[in-house]
Amino acid sequence: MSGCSGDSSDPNGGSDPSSSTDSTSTTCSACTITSQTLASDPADRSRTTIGVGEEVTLTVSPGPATWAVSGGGTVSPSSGTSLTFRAGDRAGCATVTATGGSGSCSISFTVVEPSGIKMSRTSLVRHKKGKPDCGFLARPYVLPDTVSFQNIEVREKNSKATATGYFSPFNNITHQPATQTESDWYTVQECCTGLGSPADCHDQIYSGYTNKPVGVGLMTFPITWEFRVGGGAEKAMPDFEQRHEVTATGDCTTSKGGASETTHLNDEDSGY
Amino acid sequence: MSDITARAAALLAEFEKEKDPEKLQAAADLLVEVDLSKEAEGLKRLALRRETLQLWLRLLAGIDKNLDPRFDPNDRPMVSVEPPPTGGVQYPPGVDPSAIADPPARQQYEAAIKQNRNKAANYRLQTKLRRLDEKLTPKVERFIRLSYTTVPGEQRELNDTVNKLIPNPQRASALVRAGRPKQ
Repeated sequence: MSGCSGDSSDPNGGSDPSSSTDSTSTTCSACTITSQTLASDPADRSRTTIGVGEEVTLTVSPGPATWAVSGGGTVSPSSGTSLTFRAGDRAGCATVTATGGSGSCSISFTVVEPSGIKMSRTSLVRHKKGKPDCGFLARPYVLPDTVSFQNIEVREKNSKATATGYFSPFNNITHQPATQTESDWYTVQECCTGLGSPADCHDQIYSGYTNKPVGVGLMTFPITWEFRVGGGAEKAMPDFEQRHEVTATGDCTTSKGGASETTHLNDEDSGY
Repeated sequence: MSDITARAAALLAEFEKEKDPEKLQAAADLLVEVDLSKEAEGLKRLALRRETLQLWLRLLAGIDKNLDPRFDPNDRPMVSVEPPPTGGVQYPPGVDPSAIADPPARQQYEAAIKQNRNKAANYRLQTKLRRLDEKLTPKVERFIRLSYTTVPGEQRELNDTVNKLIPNPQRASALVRAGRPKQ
C-alpha cells in the first residue's frame, strides 16, 4: 500500500506483508476496503495520497462494519458498508479501520497540505502607451496537482510595498485596503492536472504608474496565501513575491507566482 | 428529541442566523449517524424517524431558500480592486483608499471595494450551498427510501411533512417519489 510508513492492513497483525501492493484496497484475512476519491481529477481515483479536506468513498467487503479513524479526519457515517472519509486539515498519515463480524481491516492515506500557489494568466496584458506599466489578470492554482484541494478555502494576506526609483512614490503602499489584514476566503475547485486546484477568484497583478519621469524602478510585495479546511484554523503556505520592475528605457516586467509578462514603453494600449 | 437531533436542530438554527454553510455540513454529519434500528422502543423509533425527516427537510429547505438563481459561477470576485487614476497616477489594485486624493474618485473606489467583498461572500456561500445540495440530496432520499414503507400511514406522514417543509415543488416531488416503491 502506498503512503504512510508502517502501514498495516490488519491492525491485529493478521495481514500478509507479501501481499501489500500499491492499490485501491487493503486485503487481509478479515475483510477488504476499497477506496475511490470523490474528485475525478487526478484521474487515479484509487490513489491513497490525498489533499487536506479531500473526500474518499470507502467500501468494506464483507460489510457492514463499524469504522474508526486515527491520524486525523472523519468518517460519515461511522457504521455501514460504505462511507465517506474526509481528510483532516493538516498533513499526516490517516488510517481508517473497519471492524465487522469477520474481523478488522484498514487502509491508510498520506494527507498533504498545499505546497504553494501558481498564478496562471487569464487575460491580455495590461499596458498604457507611453507609461512604464504592465499587468494581467491571473487565476491562482493551489499546488500540488497530484491531489484535489476542492474542500479547502484560500486567501491572500495584506502586505506593504517596497518601492524604489520610478516606483518610489508607491513605497509602503498596502496591497489591500489598510483596514484589511487579508482578503476574503475563496473556495477552490477540483484539481486540474498540470495546473493545480483553481481558486474561485481572479488576481489583478498590475504595476500601476507614477508621475515620475521614466527610469529604473522596482516595487515588490511580499505575498502570503493561507488555507483552511471547513472553517477551521488557517495555515500559511510558503511566501513568494509580487514584483514590478522598470528599466531605464521603460520596459516593464510584472511577475507573480510563476506568471510573468513584459511590455515596452511604446507598445499600444491593451487591457484585460 | 434525541441528543443527535437536538444538536442538529441547533446547528440548523445557527445556519439561519449566520449563513455559514459549515453549520449545514455539521448538521448533516450528525443526521447520517441516526440509526433507527438501534431504537428498540417502537414509539420512540417512530418519533426519531419523524424528527430526523423534519431536520433533513429543514436542511434542504435552508439550502433552497438561500440559493441565488442569478448566481453565475463564471463571474468570480477579484482579490483586489483597481482604483481610478487621479492626478496622473495609477495606483496598483488594492491600495488603501486614503491614497486617492480626489474625493469623488476615492468614494467610487470605496464603493467598488465594498461591492467586490459582497460578491466574494456571496460567491463562497453559493458555491458551498450548491456543493451541499449535490452531496446531501441523495442522502436524504436514501433516508426516506430506507425509513418509510409503503404503508398508507407512513406515506401520509412523509407526504404531509414534505409538503409542509419543502416549498420548492420540484424538490418536494422528488422527495415524495423517493419514498414510493420502485415500479
